[in-house]
Amino acid sequence: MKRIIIFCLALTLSSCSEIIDVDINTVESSLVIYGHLSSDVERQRIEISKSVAYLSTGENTTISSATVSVNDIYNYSFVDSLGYYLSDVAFGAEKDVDYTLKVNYDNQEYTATTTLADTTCITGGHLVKASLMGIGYYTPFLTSSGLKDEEYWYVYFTYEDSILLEGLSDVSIIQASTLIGSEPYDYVPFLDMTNVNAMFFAEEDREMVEKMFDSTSTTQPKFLATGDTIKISMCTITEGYYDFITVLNQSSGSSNPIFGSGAVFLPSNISNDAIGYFGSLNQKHIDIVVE
Amino acid sequence: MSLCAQSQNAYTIKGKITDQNGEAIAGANVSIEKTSKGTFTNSNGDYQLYLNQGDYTLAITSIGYESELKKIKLDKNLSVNISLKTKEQDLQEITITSKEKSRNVSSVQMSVNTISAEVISKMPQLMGEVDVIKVMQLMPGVNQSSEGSSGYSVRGGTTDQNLILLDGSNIYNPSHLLGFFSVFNNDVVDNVTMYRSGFPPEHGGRLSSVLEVQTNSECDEVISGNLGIGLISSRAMLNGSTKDKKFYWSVAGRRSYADLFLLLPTQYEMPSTYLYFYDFNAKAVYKPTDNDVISLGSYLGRDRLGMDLLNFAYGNSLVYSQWAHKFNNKLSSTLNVDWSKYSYTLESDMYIDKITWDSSISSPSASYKADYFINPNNKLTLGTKTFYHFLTPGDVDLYDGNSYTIENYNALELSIFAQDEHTFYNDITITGTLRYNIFSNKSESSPKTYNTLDYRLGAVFPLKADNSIKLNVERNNQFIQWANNSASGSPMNVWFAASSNIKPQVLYSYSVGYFQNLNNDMFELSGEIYYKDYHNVIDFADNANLFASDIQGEVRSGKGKGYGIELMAAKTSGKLTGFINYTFSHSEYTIEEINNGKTYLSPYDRPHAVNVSVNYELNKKWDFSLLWVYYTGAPASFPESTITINGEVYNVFYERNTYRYLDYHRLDLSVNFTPKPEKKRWRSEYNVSIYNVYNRKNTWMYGFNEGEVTNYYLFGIIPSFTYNLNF
Repeated sequence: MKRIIIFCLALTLSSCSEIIDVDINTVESSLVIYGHLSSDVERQRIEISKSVAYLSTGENTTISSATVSVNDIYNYSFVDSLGYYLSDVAFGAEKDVDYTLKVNYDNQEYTATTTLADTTCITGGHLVKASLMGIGYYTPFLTSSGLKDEEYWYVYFTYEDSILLEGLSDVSIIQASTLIGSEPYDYVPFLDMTNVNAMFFAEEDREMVEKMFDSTSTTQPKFLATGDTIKISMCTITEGYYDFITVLNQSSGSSNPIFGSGAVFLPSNISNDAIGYFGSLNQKHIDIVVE
Repeated sequence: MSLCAQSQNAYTIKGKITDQNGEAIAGANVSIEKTSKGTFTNSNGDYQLYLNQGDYTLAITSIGYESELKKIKLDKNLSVNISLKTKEQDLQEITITSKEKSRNVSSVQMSVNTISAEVISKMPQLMGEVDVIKVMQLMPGVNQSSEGSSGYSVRGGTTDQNLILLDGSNIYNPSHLLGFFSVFNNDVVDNVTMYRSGFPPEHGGRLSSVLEVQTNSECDEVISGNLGIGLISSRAMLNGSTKDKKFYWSVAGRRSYADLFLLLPTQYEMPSTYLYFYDFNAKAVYKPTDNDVISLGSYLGRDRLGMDLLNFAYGNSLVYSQWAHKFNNKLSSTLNVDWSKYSYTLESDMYIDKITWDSSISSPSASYKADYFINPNNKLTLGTKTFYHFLTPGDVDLYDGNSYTIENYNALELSIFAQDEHTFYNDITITGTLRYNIFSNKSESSPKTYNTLDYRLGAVFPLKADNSIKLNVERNNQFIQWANNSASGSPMNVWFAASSNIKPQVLYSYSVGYFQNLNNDMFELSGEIYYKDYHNVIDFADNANLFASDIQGEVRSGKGKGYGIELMAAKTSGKLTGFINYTFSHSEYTIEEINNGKTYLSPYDRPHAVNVSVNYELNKKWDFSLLWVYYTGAPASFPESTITINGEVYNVFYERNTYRYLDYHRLDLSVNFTPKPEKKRWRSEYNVSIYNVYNRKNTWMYGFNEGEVTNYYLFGIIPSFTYNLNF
């Protein structure tokens, strides 16, 4: 809801702007480790990079000389693959197992542990077409079970033609306890309509919609036409991972005096002062066809 | 002189102050020279003082009139009526300093500023309006929280630490249009007083300041009015009084049309976009006897903003009543009963986010205060004030008909207070106040009752007739606060109460000041130093989600401190009037779970602030105003590095408020033209103002994206024109 408010106010209260020079301290670079294990059997992915000073641009931050492994009762080695580290074999994370990530880089060891969260079931899904300011848009809509337990935290990924449509700054996240109502609550509005990036506009309104967006912005509209298929992954995650993604969500906006400071402070579960998070996803999928 | 043994006889001196035509002069200052005694005339021009037997000199001053001195021998009850002559040369004598001319030195009260509606009307305008709160933001120690905002910080405190009162009743959110206007309509405002320390005994429950806005309660005509047409809003006011002046009434309203003029995006159509506010004031004053004044008033304001499928509506509602009764020359009392509510509604009609969110704080309250003059040198005030707060953080209706409620709860806030003001040898006056508070949070989840004590000790040590030193030591508690990180006037202020999880905030404050008047009070100088020690001060956790159902879970508490210097010089009479003030202010917090426990600057830390206001009255038709404002940029957190995850770049912040925005400054100019100032009826007034003359791009916020820093600013140079018709 916050984002929809910001979006509308931004439209209503456009202010002027200019790029300015500001002195910002150059801090020492930190190691950044991010990845999650999926319950789906697949080659799991970890990415490792370095932070760069805010005012520096164009630096290659990828780390390709680290040693990466994940241990449960087995030891899964990860190999460098164009800036990412992929497990050498496909495997899926399982319940009640502790997975420990170990990264060795520059004579330092970085570790983190994750455990797969419990899962829920998707019982159905469809797209609803509505109109905003005369522009058609689609809202994906899921029903599922098991949502009333406040121990559940969810993240939703959307794919079209196997391409992930949004980054972590855009994905929808829900804490089930916030949905508890006086009546049984058995659905999830899985794609948060407050998230502009996650809106699917109607293909027939492409021309009008594209006028609304700065073509150079990283935020670009997505379109759906009749017959298109999107895949939705509904992933149960741990509270810590939920908090991490929440902060990334918050950081996508800039500071705003109406809604307070834009400063966000990233949590991390990686040892040795590394930035990032090592989590796990208990995934369920559904394909939805635009009718 | 004024110092008399308490065993001496005491007598009343009373009378009426009028002009040459016999018209009553309200608000005239009647003081006893070389003492701290004094009072103001009421709407009938009546005054009354209670003094020991002796010889005195009455000094009567009033804006636009020649001052008058009159020697009296007080050995019995006296009635002294005085007629003042109109001041031809200095018609626009202006008071912008302490509460009463000449009493700014002798009164025990320090850290106080009063501004009349007349002064406010002369100030440069922003978009055709001079706002009461924005004028008060020019006082020493007071700072606007962000460009164009009605939010303000006093001595480094947060915006919710300010008690804001309209005719004595709480206003929970003073903002219209996201803070660009306040809820106070100049047409009905009589005067505004802000206390930065040493609050009057009947006020409490806030740490940093009390702002009292008094509306008009008098009128010379059976019916008269004012019509104002501006570029962004228009307003109308009617008031009147019966010929015997026993009954007064007023109604006033405003309606903005900002959405017609704001810079709406032009690259696409935005049907059904709206952004406006309206408000109404109504008041009736009845004086059935010479000893009774009964007032009844109300305020209703509402802002609406939104577009097509999303609507905000928010505002204050207020109903208040007061009965002031004078039992005899020694004893008087005031009974107040009122009800104040702030609420907002957020409605989204977008399919999947279809939701209605209602939030409010509603507080009926009652207070009773009695003033008793034990003798002319000793005044005792006793009273009580009670609020019963109904807090509704969120009633949420979802699109499918389901609903849920963030726990609604009630809280009782009861205070009993006593103050004694005693004048000793050499007019040394000491005021001591005790205020015992009971605050009871009656929620199911975190009930808690707190018993706390406020105390305030003030003293004035006159050095000579025109200079003095004042001291103030106090401890205050605050029991309700709002969940709002906003620096501006966000409509989504959720007030929440102290509970078993959140202790009341406590402030120990120490102030000392030097006050000097020069050239027969033409110039007023003051300097104050203060130190503030906060306990249980709250701030919001890193990455706090203020939309969360559990606001208390987002709150952290710890310690804070602030200190500063405030210097003020004012010229209060003559064709050229104005003031210049300088404030040094430091404010910091240390809260265990914020910023890794390291001390960090409050967003309201302002090392340097300067305000210069000049008004020049060329003649009765023309006057010119200049205003220059400067302050150090607000502390802010900047990202110091970026990381890349999944192809996206994120900013990384390390510490809170270690950087600052650009320094803020601007120059405003204003011209007022009254073609026929002698006309009482159908008098036209024109105002032309230029806000931000040199087009300074003062920061509203920074954006951080891809290694660049973008300065967003709201206002460049803004000319405005307003037409007023008084009838």
